[in-house]
Amino acid sequence: MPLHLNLFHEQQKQLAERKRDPLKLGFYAMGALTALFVIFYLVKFGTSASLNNQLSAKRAEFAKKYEVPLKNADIREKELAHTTTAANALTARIDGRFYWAPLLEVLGHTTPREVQIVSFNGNSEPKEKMVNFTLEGVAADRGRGPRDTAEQFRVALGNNLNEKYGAGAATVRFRSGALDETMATVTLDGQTKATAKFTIEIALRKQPSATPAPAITTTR
Amino acid sequence: MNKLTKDQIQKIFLSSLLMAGLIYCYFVFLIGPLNASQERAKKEIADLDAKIAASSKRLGRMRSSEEQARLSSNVLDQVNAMIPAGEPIAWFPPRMRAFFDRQGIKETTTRLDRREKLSEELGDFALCYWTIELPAVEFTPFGIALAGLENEEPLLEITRVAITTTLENPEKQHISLGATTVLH
Repeated sequence: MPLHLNLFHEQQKQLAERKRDPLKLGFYAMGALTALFVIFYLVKFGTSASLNNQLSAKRAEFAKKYEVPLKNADIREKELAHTTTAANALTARIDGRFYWAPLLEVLGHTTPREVQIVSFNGNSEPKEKMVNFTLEGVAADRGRGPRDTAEQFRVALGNNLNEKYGAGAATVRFRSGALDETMATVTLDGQTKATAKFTIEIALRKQPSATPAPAITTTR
Repeated sequence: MNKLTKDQIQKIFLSSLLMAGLIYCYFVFLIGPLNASQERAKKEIADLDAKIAASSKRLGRMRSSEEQARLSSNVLDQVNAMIPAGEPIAWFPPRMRAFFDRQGIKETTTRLDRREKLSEELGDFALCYWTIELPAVEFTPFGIALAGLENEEPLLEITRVAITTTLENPEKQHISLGATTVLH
């Protein structure tokens, strides 16, 4: 068996040691890691740049489309609100008026031949919810005494007003102590009749109507 | 297995130290700020989106308010068109006289009682209080005239009606009306 002598074993050992040098291997690993880090960083940077572009675009959109109109909107809104409020208030005022003609129509229909209205006084303050009016008149006897004629008139007036303005809208009552028989008489259909004076107070709840009622057509 | 020499151990330690330093610097000085910047951008985008949505909604409301105001403006124009120019005392009494004349009611007198600001929201308008006297009129023609007046004059509101019958002439009544009108 031939004898082999390795005369370079020292050099080979050194070469192998250089190949396994931990520092060198460490640098290789760091190089690889750095390359990965660079790639990761570039990806991240790209995402970040894209987000910043989006942000700039949004800012530009906001400044162009909204910033100036919004600044003007405050002033314009006040002007618009003023116009709208004024128009609404005027419309409410016009629609909320109390119409007297329909009331007089009811009065004209209700008053019988035996009742003569001497005076009518009514008030409707725009801010009040009620209309108050007072009727003074003379009632002639219809067979059951003049007081009964006045009472029938009061009841009929109350019924007709409640029918026209809604149930419970009108309160019709004699003023305290204001239904008195008088010494005076009247002649109706050739007959002399006893009379009574009365004062009726009426409180009527306002009901705003969109359109006025037609003109009255009764005759007295 | 060869045992590590002291030199190798030192080199491994040095490599590990450098690696740790690299990782630390990478995350702290490069990735950290980038992440923070991304988060900030995302938050700002979300804020801006919300702001744009709110602004868009508000401008939409403004547009509908504009439409509403256009209708309101028409109402105000109509009301303004119903109010003649000049001092009301100069034109309102003749207007009332002409109206009742057309209804066959003569000798109407109208006088101005007072004038006041209508309300805060209607600062451009004033309210005039009038008394209209009809000295001798029958009930039915008066009722017809009153209905016509209330129909023809939307800015006029009758606030008081006083009807008195005189014994001398029971067919004719003396009528006093209190009225308010909306004016400039």
